[in-house]
Amino acid sequence: MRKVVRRGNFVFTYVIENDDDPTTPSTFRVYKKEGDGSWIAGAGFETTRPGTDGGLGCSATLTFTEHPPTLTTPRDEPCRLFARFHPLSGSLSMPTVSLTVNGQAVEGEAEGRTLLVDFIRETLGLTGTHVGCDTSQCGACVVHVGGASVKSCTMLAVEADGADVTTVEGLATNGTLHPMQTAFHEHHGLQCGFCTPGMMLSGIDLVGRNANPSEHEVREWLEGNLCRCTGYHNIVKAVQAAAAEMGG
Amino acid sequence: MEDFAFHRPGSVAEAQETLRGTEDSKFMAGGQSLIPLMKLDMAAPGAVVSLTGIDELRGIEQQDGSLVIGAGMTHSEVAESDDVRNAISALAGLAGSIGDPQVRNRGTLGGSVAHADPAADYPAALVALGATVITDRREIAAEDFFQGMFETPLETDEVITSVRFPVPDSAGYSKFPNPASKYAIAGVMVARNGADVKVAVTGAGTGVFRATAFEEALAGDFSAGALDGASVSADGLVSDTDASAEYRAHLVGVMARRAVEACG
Repeated sequence: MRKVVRRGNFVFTYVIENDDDPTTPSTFRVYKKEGDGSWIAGAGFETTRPGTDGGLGCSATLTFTEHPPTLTTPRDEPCRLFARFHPLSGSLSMPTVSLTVNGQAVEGEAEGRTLLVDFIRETLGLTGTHVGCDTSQCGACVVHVGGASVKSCTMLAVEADGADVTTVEGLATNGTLHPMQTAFHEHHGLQCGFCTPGMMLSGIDLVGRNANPSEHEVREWLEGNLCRCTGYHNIVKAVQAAAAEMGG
Repeated sequence: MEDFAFHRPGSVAEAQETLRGTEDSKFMAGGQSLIPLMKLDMAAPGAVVSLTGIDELRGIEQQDGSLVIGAGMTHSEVAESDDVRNAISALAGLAGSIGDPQVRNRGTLGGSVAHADPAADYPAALVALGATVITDRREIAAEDFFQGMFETPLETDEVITSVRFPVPDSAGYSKFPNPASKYAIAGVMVARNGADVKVAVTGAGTGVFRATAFEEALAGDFSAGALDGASVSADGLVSDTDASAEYRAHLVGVMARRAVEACG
């Protein structure tokens, strides 16, 4: 028995692999989870596996109206069922992620696969965190989670549940720029500005660990932050100046 | 990326129960390798069971001449640990050379070891130091653990809980990194215990391996000069856009000399 659990209304595509009897109907049944954790059978329906191509790669699209649905098939081995759900717009009931962002408690819905950066930008509307490469190379998406800098394109939103997150929008207090922001301004540590939020959050993490970093240490630390404009010189100067200002 | 159910249990036992109860599910530690693989649809688990909420996987302690590091410790935590720096400074340095600071803030010892990337840094440390991988059910010597490219003897529901590193007389690590990823194009860890010398190489082959010719040369004379005339064969080494097999063989020699010099 294979079971796939998702909440919400979905178009469901299924694929049966290694099916030795493609003409036998597969019965899928929708279940509803009760508050005590038990599952109650809801509206059932039956579908016949389409196609007779020997068992590989068939699919069908079905619409669930019951939710949250659990999908089961009564057929055990050698039938293998792979299910992919495609949420229909406007009717989702997804896990809620609750976290503190820039000192404020926030919550929003996120799929398991939702990246933290997409949650920050699209759900919370904080677009100061940028997506450059989306492959954890460039560092434009760096935020702090629990005080440590991370690449929010390589962390799931659900992993940040309960965490304390700081984005570039949270650096200034009451209209006064953070020393790192002031230093980037004064030392002209940016040109186009795309990498700047990540540079500053990375730099603040460094100064938190090393109050008086050398030029070499700053350059080593910024390994994971790419700038395609400045050649880094003024960025390094800015981070060092900020460190001095922050009490190094 | 395909969607998946996400679980973050609080204990190893609960993590295993969750994994066993969900089809196509996978453990995830810091996610610095798995999330990129999922983005490329090279991995599409039906459920991800996060190991980041498990206290028993954390901690660093000294035990009878060994350092036991919890599998859930991040590379940053290992790199910055006074216990690790004092006992095996080369290991702290190695952890601090992985990827970049943000990767080190998420990636973990257990995750890296379980993933067994042939160019990862930790495998060289585990093999050279004669470390033991400790799981929920057994202990596995490092040399038996790394079986080739992404290959380990771990069962699907087996969790690495810690790694035990015997403290050597001295150790050194040197790598020639890919400038973008910081993965080792060739990385060499050297560890000495009296006349016993182990030299482990990562990044150059399809998995970590010991350079026995170097070990023999260093056993009699532990100095970089003792490696003059010794070499590793390019046969079986990786040849790709970063470096040819012959160049990797050359780099292994250079990195080995630097690692010996770093032993101090």
